[in-house]
Amino acid sequence: MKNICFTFLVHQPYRLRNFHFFEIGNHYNYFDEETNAKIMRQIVEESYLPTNKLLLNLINTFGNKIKVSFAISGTALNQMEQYVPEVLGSFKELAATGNVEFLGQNYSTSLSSLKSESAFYEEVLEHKRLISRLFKKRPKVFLNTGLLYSDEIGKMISNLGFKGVITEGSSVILNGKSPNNLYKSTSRPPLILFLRNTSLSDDIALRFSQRNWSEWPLTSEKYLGWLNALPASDELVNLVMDYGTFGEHHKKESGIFDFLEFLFRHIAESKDLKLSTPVEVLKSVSAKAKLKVSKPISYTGTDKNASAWLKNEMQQEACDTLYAMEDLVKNTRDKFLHQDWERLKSADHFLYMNNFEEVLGNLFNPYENPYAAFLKYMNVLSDFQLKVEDKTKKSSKRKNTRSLIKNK
Amino acid sequence: MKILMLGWEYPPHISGGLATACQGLVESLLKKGHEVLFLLPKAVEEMQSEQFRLISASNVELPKKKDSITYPLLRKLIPNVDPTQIHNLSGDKYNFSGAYGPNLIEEVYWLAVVISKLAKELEFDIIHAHDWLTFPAGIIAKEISRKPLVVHVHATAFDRSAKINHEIYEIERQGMLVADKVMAVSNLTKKIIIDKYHIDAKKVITAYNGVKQKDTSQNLDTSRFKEKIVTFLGRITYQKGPEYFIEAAEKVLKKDKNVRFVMAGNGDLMTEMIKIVAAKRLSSHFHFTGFLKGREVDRMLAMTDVFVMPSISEPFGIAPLEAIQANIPVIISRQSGVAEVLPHAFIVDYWDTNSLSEAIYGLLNHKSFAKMVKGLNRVTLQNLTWGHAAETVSSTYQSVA
Repeated sequence: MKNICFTFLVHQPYRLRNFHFFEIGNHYNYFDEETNAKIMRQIVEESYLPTNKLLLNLINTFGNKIKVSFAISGTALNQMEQYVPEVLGSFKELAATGNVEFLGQNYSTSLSSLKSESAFYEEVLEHKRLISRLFKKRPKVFLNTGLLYSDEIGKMISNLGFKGVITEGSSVILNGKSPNNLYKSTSRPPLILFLRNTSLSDDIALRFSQRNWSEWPLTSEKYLGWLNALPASDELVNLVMDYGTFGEHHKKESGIFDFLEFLFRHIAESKDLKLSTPVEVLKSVSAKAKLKVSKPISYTGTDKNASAWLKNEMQQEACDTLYAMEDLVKNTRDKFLHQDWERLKSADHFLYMNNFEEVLGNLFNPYENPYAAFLKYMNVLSDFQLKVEDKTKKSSKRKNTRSLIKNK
Repeated sequence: MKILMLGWEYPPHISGGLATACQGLVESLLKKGHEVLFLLPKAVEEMQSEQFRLISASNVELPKKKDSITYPLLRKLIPNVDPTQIHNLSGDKYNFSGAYGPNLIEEVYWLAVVISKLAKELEFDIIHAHDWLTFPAGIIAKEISRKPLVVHVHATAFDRSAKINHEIYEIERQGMLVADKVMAVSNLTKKIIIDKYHIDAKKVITAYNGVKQKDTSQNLDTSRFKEKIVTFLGRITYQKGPEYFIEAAEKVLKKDKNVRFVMAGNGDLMTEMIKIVAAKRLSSHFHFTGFLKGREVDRMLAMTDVFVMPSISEPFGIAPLEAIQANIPVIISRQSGVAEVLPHAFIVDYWDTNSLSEAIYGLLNHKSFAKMVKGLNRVTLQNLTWGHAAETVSSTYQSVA
């Protein structure tokens, strides 16, 4: 039996409002509540709710034959709680079926795995706590921002107690090997590497409604045929895609929901294929070989590495400025500053500053160009810096007074 | 092809961008193998080489006889000039100033008279007239020689002042109507030609200016100020939007005192701008240099950290290209034709001084941002050559010859 692992990514950043540089120092709110609420509502209505409902119906019909996993970011969950709590209820219902696995993540879909080990650990643990609070689940398998992974990142993930990690089945690391097997990381104890099947994932995520694609229209029968045609030595197929694929990137009219429903029905009835979650696969499949990944890979951008977020100077300056503040922010022990800091870390902010040439797809990018994205971000960051400094000064004053009193 | 080109200025005689543009274009046309006869009112020095001849109209004897084409046409085109009242006649030549003084319209008239003679004597295949000043001459040359006429619009009456000069507008319109093809320096100008002069869109072609590729490795003096410098460089006139520059300066200075603003150039709004700056109490951080000549411009640019062109209406605008060449990040208004060829410049609406001040502040305070803007623009600039411009012009000639 071949395992078919569907992993759905759910993430929304807190987009910044039009924060002008006059406002630096005023400490006004940074985030565009109205837009964020609007985008969240739109995507919930068009995608998350109907797809959740579809999955619930399938689980009711086929029981344990329907299995999927979700990677939902902390910032997405917070915005759901804030703006559309009913969708959270629907995810909880799915969680309660026991057929759905939740993956570990860093809280805000940040770049901390590249920038700060300590920030990374904190974020992952905070996300773990949130998943446990909302869904009563303990993630065992990890999925990093944009599927970022390297040996070094693997070490950190392993340190946090995860058993496996999902990353891109990049040809750079596979060297002709199949992405449809499990591999081991170089860390000790080794992490199990799940590799995203790039083409089969993108057939659904990117190409499904492209009329100029030679395989258009993609039917569930045709897709099933592709899965069945894979060699017997392939033990699992990881299909990882944004959850917005269903209903948002491909609208309802494209037939995407029917495709998903019938594909799942076919697999549920198949003798050769079965839907699984990563943890189940860990129990039944063993890893083939070690994979060395010396430089970070990802599934984002044209180069499928970290360059989509950190290629140009603006991205680098913005990101370095942000992470340089880590200790200061931590030392304030201020809940609200900590929350701003989390939200400012979302990698989306840096993606918006990407060069003009890259096609970034459906991001709900609020900016006209990368310059505007950079300027707004830096305005906010400057204000945030002042806020943190203010707080630091105040608390050190307080400490001084306290010690004075003690000494008396 | 042999081109009879009509212009108003040519280096070293420079007052605006027109001379530089004409030279850039001519040099590239010559490289393509064309021959150019360039007539202008007054040349500092006439030039002649195998392919190129610079003719000063001041040195051309006026025709002895009135021909039947020129005077009736000119009466129609420029009714306000009386040919019997010649002010600057010296012997049998007209003594052009070649400037933009009070006698301008009279000089426009007499340049046309000069061409009525040359059009019979010179050999050429096509006539190329730059801006309204030479349009009457272009029309006469076409009538007499029966050669095709291409008019080149570097600016229109709508770009010069808020109040339209109807006499000039009419001359521009006649030139465009008579011309076989009209070349505009940007799509912005092309649109004005179609919408406001009602010229058939099929006749209008956009031919962007180029920029002379020059070596910028030479080290000129850098700033003597410890503060960063933000520069406005151009005529201080309504169309250039100088007051928006001042407004943005005020906003930046509220946040960051470590900046000096420089308005380099002169123009009819200069005293008013000085008054505004004083009234806003910005004078300690705001400087006026007056008109800058060649090398002074280079020195000014060498001191500059951010270059701003907030024009309200700018058909093209070569100045930002020179700034990019000097490795300076530029901010230009969306209402500038040059914005069409600089996709990576920072572009703002001229009235949006909030965005303008924010961009200035950002470029001064974030190295990476300034570096990106500089770098991306320099790459763009490499493809923005007069060679490309000459190609468009050349094929326009082909289409009518």
